Amino acid sequence: MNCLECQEVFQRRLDGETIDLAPDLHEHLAQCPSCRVLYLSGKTLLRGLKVLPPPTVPLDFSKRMTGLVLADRRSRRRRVRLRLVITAALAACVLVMALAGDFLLPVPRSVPSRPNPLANDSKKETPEIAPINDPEESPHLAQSVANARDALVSISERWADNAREQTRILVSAANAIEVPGIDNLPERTGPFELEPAAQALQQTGQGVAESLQPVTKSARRAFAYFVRELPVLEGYR
Amino acid sequence: MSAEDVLLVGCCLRGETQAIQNLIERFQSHVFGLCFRLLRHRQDAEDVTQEVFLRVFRSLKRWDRTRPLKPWIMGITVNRCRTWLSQRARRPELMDYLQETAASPKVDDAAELADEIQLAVRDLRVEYQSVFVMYHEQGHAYEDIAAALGRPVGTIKTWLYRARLEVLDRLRRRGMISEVADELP
Repeated sequence: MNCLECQEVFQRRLDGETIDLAPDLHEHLAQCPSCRVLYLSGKTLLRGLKVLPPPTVPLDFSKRMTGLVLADRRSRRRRVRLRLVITAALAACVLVMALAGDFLLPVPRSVPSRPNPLANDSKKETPEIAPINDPEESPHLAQSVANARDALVSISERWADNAREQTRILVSAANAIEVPGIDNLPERTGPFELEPAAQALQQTGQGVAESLQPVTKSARRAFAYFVRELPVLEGYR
Repeated sequence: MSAEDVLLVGCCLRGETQAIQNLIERFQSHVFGLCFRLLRHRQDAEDVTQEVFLRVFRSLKRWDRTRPLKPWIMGITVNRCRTWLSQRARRPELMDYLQETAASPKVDDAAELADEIQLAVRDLRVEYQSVFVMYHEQGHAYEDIAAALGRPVGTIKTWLYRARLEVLDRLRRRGMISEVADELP
């Protein structure tokens, strides 16, 4: 038997196995002092472990510990309950604030109402605007501006015609006898010299014309503003 | 895993006081013994034992019922002791080395030998201490120690082999080994 085999036997004995020592182990122990010391040390260790006093548990430890465990369990339950209450209270606060904000805060009228994404009304779907891919298909901007200008001019002319016609009717009504007719008026070389009654009508006519002036000025100004805001087209630079 | 463990744990989870006390009484000597050997301080051992049981009952729901209960509790014990030792190493303290030996005066060689073995175990690494105490003092099987420490059985055997060699060397250096020929087998 060699030293390794001898040590293995020692370890098995320390593990608590009861092994009959073979005669060749005796011979090895008699010849090998290190293994002999190891064997004796193991024997001493086993003897010492048997007399090793076990640590004694403190008196009433289990009762005290049971009380601690129950108290700990109660405090943990209280904490969990408190956490639940706080969470529920916070959630309720948030909900109340959200509802109050929805009812109390003024909704601006200019803001269009947002479409309801949940509504499934296919009949009211807004028509999609097809993107303009071909520049030739796009409406001609200059043509649009010209149309707008013509419309404005025609409106102004119509206003002016109306005013002139009303003035003519008033003047003809006032001087039906004395005035031969507004169409037969002599060629005007200077200011009319009207009678006092006709002067009042003339002032009325002037008032109508002056009242039309702000309208035409506003229209002109709006048109100028409209034209100024238009982007400059490539072909018109 | 034993049916008794499962039944006991079930009663503890329902909050039965008697079951809680039974579980504590069943494992308190092992837990306190290991704490006392590793921490080498009676009061510290008691404090850590309390911590261990509090943690055991807090995490009893997470115990895997397919595994034995005892190694699980001993694993918690070893972890708490290691944590306590690392915390204690960072703070200055008065080590009460003599509290156990002073309480038991040396009356014969057996008591002296026991003291020397305890001193030898104290000088071991924590892993070796755990394995040595759990195997030689508390009689745990290799498999249980492996489960408690989360190591393979082979590692546990290696640690125990080295721990024994260190203890034997210490005993030899302290003159506790008589090399008398008549002690040979």
